[in-house]
Amino acid sequence: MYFTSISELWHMAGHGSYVWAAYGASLIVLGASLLMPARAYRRQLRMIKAQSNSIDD
Amino acid sequence: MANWQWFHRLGSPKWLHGTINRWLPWVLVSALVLLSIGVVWGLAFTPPDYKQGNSFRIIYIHVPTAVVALAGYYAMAIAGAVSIIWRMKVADMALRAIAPVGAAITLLGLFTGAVWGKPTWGAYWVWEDARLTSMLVLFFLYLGIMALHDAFQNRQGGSRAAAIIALVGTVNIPIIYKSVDWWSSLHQSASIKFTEESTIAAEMMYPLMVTIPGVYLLFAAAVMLQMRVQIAHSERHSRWLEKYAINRA
Repeated sequence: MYFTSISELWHMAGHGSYVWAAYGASLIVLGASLLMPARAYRRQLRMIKAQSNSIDD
Repeated sequence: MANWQWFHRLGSPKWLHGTINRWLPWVLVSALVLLSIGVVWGLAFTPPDYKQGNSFRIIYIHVPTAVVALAGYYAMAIAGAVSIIWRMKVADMALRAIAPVGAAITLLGLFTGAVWGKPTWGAYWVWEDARLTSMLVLFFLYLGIMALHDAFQNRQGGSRAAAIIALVGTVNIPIIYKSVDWWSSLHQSASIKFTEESTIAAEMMYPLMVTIPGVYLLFAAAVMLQMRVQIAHSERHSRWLEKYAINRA
């Protein structure tokens, strides 16, 4: 590792807040763009299944 | 005789749904592996820039998101063209699938650029800068296309309008590329070149060679997930999807 300690990695000689803000935001936005459509799809399948059951009954 | 079977298959939502489900885990896992390696490498195992210090580490997410924001727009415009010319349902689905993912990636490109700009240029945002402004226009194009889809009473009208705007918006792409050369800009010009020697140090470049394909694959995974939502919506009354939904649970 280039840094000698975790706290040095965190502070990055004063640039830590900028660097970690960039990576934190990326984690949130990229994570959301995967999770949101995955959940929407599961919801759609549940609805299709429920409708099919109600027709069969 | 040319074999056009693949083109017809591509037009089948059922075939596409199955193909997405087969490929998705591989694309997703490759994206996560590449991004984990590239980000850890770039954050902790490269030396700081001699001028910018540690703020330059933002490059490993900023450049990939900006590159993919542009590439995504190309893909969306091609889908728009196919949707207009051949009235292919799947192309319209692709247009609808790419727009939100493209908007999210462009927003990240803008945000990571802003937090890099502050310690480097002394400002989060500079309105006079053509690169920044043209990227903001790209973000609004993505948003506009998302909004147009829902702005029409009938689905077809929304699809056509969105496809036309996607095509018209491609004029912005060369402007973004050339903005740093055409106008005086705070934004630096490209330091990774394909036709001549790159002006970035090799050890700083290697993690970027990992995170760029990583973000491309992540973008692909997100578009595949969105595509599945589009297919499930348009095929919600079809027998094959009903069977799939029942067997899956």
